[in-house]
Amino acid sequence: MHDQDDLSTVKADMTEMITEESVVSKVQELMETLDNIKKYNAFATSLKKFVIIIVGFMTVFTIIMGMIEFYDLRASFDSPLFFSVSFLSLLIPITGIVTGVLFVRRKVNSVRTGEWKEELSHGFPSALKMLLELDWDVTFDEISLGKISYVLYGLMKAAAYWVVTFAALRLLGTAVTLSVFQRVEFVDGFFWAALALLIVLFTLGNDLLKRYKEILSLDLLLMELRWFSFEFRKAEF
Amino acid sequence: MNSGKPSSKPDLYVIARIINVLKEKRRMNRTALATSTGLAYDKLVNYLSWMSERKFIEIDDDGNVKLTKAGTDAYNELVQWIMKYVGQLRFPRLRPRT
Repeated sequence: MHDQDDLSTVKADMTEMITEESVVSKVQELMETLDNIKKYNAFATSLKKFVIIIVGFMTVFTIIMGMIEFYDLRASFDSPLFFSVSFLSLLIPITGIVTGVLFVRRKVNSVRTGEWKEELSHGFPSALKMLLELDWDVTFDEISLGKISYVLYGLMKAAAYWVVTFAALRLLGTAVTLSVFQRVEFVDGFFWAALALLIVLFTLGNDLLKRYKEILSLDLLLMELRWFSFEFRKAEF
Repeated sequence: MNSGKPSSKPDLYVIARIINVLKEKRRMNRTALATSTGLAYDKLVNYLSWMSERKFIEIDDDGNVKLTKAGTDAYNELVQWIMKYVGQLRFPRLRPRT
């Protein structure tokens, strides 16, 4: 009889331990997700500088190309030299994109994560403490802001790719038509713009789709966390 | 002045820590319990008094603290409640890409 009592006590203890471990494991998942949210939020803090870098380099490139057109410098260069200079000037926006992306990557990678791991290793009480101390409103703001910034970053990067592709295609098209048909413009600029758009969509399509899915996931997460925080805050222990 | 007495709303984390230690060690004197939970002795005594009023613990004549069934049940209820809600959360696989 005593043995049976001991056995059921041990079983009950084991069940409690499993539940406590499950809570700790879930809180760990939550904290890891919030770490990722901090990374999304890094897009928000670095977006302004990213835009300045991209727009700055694009402006320099546009001014150079505009000056070539405006002062009709094409006439003073022979064709191969003109196209070499033009293609080399494409390095300006490409450098802008690389600089901007590297800047954002550095910011995202510098986000400190996992600082809660030591604390959570103390088990259920620590998991409870983390849930109690979470500033839900700040977390929701971070998710919303991070989400918008992530979208804007993706669009800005795609736009920059489009500008470079358009300029490269137009130059290449002009070079080919000039050498083959002895004409400067064979097709309209809209053609190159549309073709550049198709190429960018084809190249970045998968990336944009993944970003879109991530945004949907962040929306769902926001809804789930709002529900949880509401239940947690209204609870009377 | 803050006496550290958990008058109306005690810190759940502190309660959980005390119960967690008592569950593991079964019976402890207050000084050892203060050390194990990392609480100041005065603060611990106030919490123990609050818990004793609710029959979560018993303190014998030697000053040893023991967790009661009510204390264990309250703790388990808290764990179950948290699990009930936190267990329903589904976290997406997020990987921010630059």
